[in-house]
Amino acid sequence: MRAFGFAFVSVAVAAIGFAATAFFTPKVHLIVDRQGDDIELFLNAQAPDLQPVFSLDPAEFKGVEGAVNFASFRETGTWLMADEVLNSVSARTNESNVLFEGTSLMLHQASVPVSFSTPVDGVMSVSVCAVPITEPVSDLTDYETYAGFYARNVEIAEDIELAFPKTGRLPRLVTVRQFVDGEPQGWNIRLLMDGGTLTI
Amino acid sequence: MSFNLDRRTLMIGLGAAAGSTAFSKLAFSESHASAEGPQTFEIEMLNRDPDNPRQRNVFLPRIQVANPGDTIKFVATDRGHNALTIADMVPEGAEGWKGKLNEEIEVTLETPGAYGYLCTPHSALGMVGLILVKGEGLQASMETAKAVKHRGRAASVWEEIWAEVESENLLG
Repeated sequence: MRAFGFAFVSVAVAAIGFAATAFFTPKVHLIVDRQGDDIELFLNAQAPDLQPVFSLDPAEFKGVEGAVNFASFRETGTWLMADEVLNSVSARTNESNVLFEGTSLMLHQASVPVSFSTPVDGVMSVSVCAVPITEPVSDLTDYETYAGFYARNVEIAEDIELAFPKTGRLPRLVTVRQFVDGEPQGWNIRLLMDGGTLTI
Repeated sequence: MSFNLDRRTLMIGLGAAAGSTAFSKLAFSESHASAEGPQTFEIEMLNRDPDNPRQRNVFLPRIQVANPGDTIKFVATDRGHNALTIADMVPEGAEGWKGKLNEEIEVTLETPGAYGYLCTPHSALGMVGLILVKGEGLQASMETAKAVKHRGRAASVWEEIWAEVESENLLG
């Protein structure tokens, strides 16, 4: 009877913990589109969450003037910034490492709704030309990061394991939407522990 | 992606009917040397391919075949794009070009060869294109251009472009 009670309490605590995670921690969203031997990945996370999840200070996006200059995003492209996001995340299949190259990165105000459900949404969200240029922004607290990545020569049937850095953060809920050639294959929500892995 | 000769022939006919300016919604467009002299071709810079809404940020046509002396006009149909040549994808002895964002530029190409170009903010998303100027040295220039490495989706798009050049026998 005592063992049953202990198990019940443990399950209840776990459920409360999961619910608390769902309500109180920032979320990460991934769109995965497999196209033949290529994989395109789109990521959405709150800008302040880049540090705990990806070990990346979003201040890296700021120019020398200490602010994010959206006009310069258009002049130079932002694929190198996207590279920075996955710098501390390793990706591999059973057989080999997978190289995800950044394609573009964009920051949007959290108060401005951005569709992020399909690969086309992904392309739009990371495009630096899709929104009006605003004044340079120094405080990224209320900004969301959208980044795109592309990997080639990956067997379509292979799972890819993304290993995240250990930063001492709380677990994160990650929504993963899977596509093949733009056609939806399903979606689910995963719990990503600190220093944990995500299979896509 | 496949095309049939009838569509291409129709496009060429329409281009001729339009006088010195030819325009195509096809993925590639081909110049025919004519007694009328050099032609001007338009390449649109677009947020999306009207024939394939999944394909965002494109040059259309993405392959243009021209003759020496022909002019290419990059049309800023949508904003936020530019066109500039890629390092090592310009024929030896020729000059590249560098358009600013939203800038419509015209370039007259005298030197035969393969000219690879891109849109600065969207190149890694695959916004790239190729101009083939017929004449001596085109084949060698193509081989040099094919050896250039690209990042992200652009690498896949270039593979599609090279395959298209071959399958459509665009080197003549």
